[in-house]
Order: sequence, then structure tokens, then C-alpha cells
Amino acid sequence: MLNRIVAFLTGYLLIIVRGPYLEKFINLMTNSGLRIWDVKWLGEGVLESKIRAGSFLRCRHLFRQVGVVVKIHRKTGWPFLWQKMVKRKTFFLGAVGCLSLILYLSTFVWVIRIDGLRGAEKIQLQKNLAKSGLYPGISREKLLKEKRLMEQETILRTPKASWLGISLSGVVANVRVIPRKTSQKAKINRQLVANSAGVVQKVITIRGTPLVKEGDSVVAGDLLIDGVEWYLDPDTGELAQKKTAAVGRVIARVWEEWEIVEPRVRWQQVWRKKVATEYKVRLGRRLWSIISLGQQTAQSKGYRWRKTLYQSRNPLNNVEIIKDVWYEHKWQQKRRSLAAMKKAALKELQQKQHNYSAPGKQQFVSQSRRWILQKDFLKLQITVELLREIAVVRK
Amino acid sequence: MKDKWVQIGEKVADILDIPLETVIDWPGIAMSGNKSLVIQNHLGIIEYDQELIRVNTKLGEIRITGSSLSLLVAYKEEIVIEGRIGGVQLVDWR
Repeated sequence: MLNRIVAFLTGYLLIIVRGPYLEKFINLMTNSGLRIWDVKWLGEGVLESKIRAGSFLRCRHLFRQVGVVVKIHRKTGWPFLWQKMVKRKTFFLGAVGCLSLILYLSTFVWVIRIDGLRGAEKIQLQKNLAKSGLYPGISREKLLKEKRLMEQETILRTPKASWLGISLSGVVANVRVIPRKTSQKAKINRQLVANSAGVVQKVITIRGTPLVKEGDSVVAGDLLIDGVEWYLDPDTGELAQKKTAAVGRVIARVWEEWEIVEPRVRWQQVWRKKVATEYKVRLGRRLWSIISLGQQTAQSKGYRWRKTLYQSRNPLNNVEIIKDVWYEHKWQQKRRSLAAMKKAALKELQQKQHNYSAPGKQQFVSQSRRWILQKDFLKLQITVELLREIAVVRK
Repeated sequence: MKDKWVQIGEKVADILDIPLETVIDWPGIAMSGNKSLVIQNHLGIIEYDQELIRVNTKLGEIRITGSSLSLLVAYKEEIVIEGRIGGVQLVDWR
């Protein structure tokens, strides 16, 4: 093969040799170090052979010596091709231009193959890929640079895909998609019922048949949205029903009773003098005591102050200085005034409201308060009016 | 004199356990199926046509018979014969 490539580059001739002593011709050629190949017997006293173009002139005396007639049948190889090209400049320029155009166009992606999705999902993925920057005509260099980003953006835009990978093969971008496995079908004939009593304010039915309307009063356990759907049977022309999983929201006005009790007498912790201080250093999981001042007792209670000197990614490997301080303390009764009790009750109410309100789930409409003062307690009774979703799935 | 060198070459090849043709320029014949035949260290072609090729070597003559025979390569050191080879005969070998 190598000989043939060299022969093409240096140029070779297809010659036809006629004469009585062809074997002698072959032997003389080979013994002179000249290479001939593809020697074919054409007939009595005639054969064809290939010979390098440069060797032909050197062996003319051999032809005469043997007494054969040699005729050049064809000239092949790059030197002859080049001569032809030089004569046909326009053709040569056209060939060079065509080659350059092919090379230039091969720096772009022209075909996008998607494997893993079909139908409408595939078309949607093509649109998402185009939004992420992968479209026919994008340069290969840009695609290779931003491939990772494109993959991540497309996955975010395509909920049907759980994984997506782009690979480049020539001018073809292969997009391999692993589709997301859908969850099991919703339980059929699912019904939505009320979880508390109230007055319905809004009914949003996505699937199923609503059994309540705005203004209806319901109690806990009442059916709100039934898991059936009505349709016109094309065979019989009559209304028929089929079971389905009810989906929807029912917003209702509900009332709740809260009670907050504040005792007049409370136990309070009183701190006395400092009894002990200890400084420590923690290196990773080891703890060393540096200085310890004073003596801690059974009644003393302490708090810890710490300063981190080296913050590791693993908190267990941090280096920090720790200061432990112990105080004497004792519990004592404290009698509060009415104003202090009210203030504490209102603070607790505020905290409860804060904890109770969840955005999108429920909102406070109004409240009425009643204060009841007893011998050792102050009671705060509140009736709260809320707008809340009351529909829950019947178990 | 030549025979003496051949004998020495044979002994060297035997001692060193190397192929004989690397020491002595004896003809080497290698066939690939019945489609091609390579002959190394030949001394020229005696007769050539489509059905018979006779090749001279140091040890004697090799006759290759068959049909559609052609010389794929004809170099000084080796020739390659292609075609449908029917038989290879060693004539007057020493």
C-alpha cells in the first residue's frame, strides 16, 4: 500500500510492451533495480505493466537492448494531475474553494439527533434546546464550550427528562435523554371532605364533581368534591359517570377558640456572683484546659463563650478557644402586676398568631378578645375567624 | 567455495536457532491460499504467460501453473504472483 501511495505521489505510467522476449525484459528491469508492478499478460508477446515515471527515461536503453516496443498507455499520479490543474485554473480554484467551504461548514453543527423522547415531547425538547442555545447552525467550538450549561438549562426547562447529555460527532449533535419515570396513577374515586366546620367561600374544582357552592355551611366530614365525572356516552347518547380522583380546593371561613392563661405568681431564676471561670482550647476532637479559676458548686450554673480561630469544612476539626463561666443562682417566686400579666398574654398571643399563619394556607379575618381575671390567673379567650382550605382526602 | 559458506551458514543458524533463510540467501516461498505466491531471492523469470510462470532460483527452477496468473510485483529481491494457482513444482532442485 505504501508503495502505491509513493507511486501516486511521484507519478507512474501504465506501459504496454510488445516483443519476443518479454521475460528478458522483466529480468533486466528488476536486475537494474527498477520496480515494475501489476504485470499482466495480454496476449502472445504483449504485456502491460506499471512503472514509475522517473524510471521510464532511465530504462529506454534497456528497451532497445531487449528489442521490445514500449508504448505509454496512461500517465497517472500527482505530478500529471497537477499539470492538468495548472492548465485548468478555474477548475482548480473551484476545487480549492469547494474544499474550503466544506471545511468551514464542518465547523458548525447542522443536525441535532434526539434519542429518548418521542412525539410532542421530542418537539418540545427541540424548542427547549434552541432556547438553551443548541440549534442547527451553532458553531462546534461554542457548543463544546457551553455544553455543560446547555445541558443544565435544558434539564430545567424539560420536566420530562431526568437526565440529558449532549455529545458531538462531526456536524451531528447527539442528545441522549433519560425520561423521568412518572409516578403511579392517582388512586381512583378519591373524594375530598371537610376537615372542620365553616362557611364555604370559594370552590376550585380541577377534577371531580363539586357538591358545595359558595355560601354553604359545612361541618367536619361533609363531602365537598366527589370523585366522579359525568360525560356523554357516544354509543348510547346518554349521560354516564366514571370514577376519578377528585382534585381541587375549597376555601372556607372557619372559627376557632383560643385560650391563654397567665399565672400571677411565677418562678424566676436569679443569678448571683461568679464562682468559677475556665479557659480551654479545642483542637479538632481534643480539648485542653488552660486556666481554671475558682471552684464550681452543685448549685452553680454556667454558660459557654467560644471564639473560632480556624474554621474547617468539617466543624469537628475547628480550632477554638472556649471560656466557661459559672454563677451561683437560685429560683424564687415573683408576684406580677395585672399589667405585666396582660403584656405577657398579648406577647404569647402574638407569637401564636405568627406561628399559626401560613402563607397561602390560611389568613386571619378578625378576632374578638375576652379577659377573665381569677384569683391567681388571668385568662385571655380569643375567637379567631380564619380563611382556610378545608378540603382533605377522605381516608 | 560457495558450498562451504552454505555449510557454515547452516551451522550458525542451527546454533543460534534462527531461520535459515536469514543466513543463507536461499529462495523463500510463501503461499496465501491459492491466490498469491511470494518468492524471495529469485534469479529471474524464465517463462511467463497466463497459465505458466517459471522462476529461476539458486537451488533450481520453480514452476507455477494455474490460470489468470499475473506478476503483482516484480522487484529484484522478490516477486509476487497473483491468480488462480493450480500447482507449484520444484524442478531440478539440488
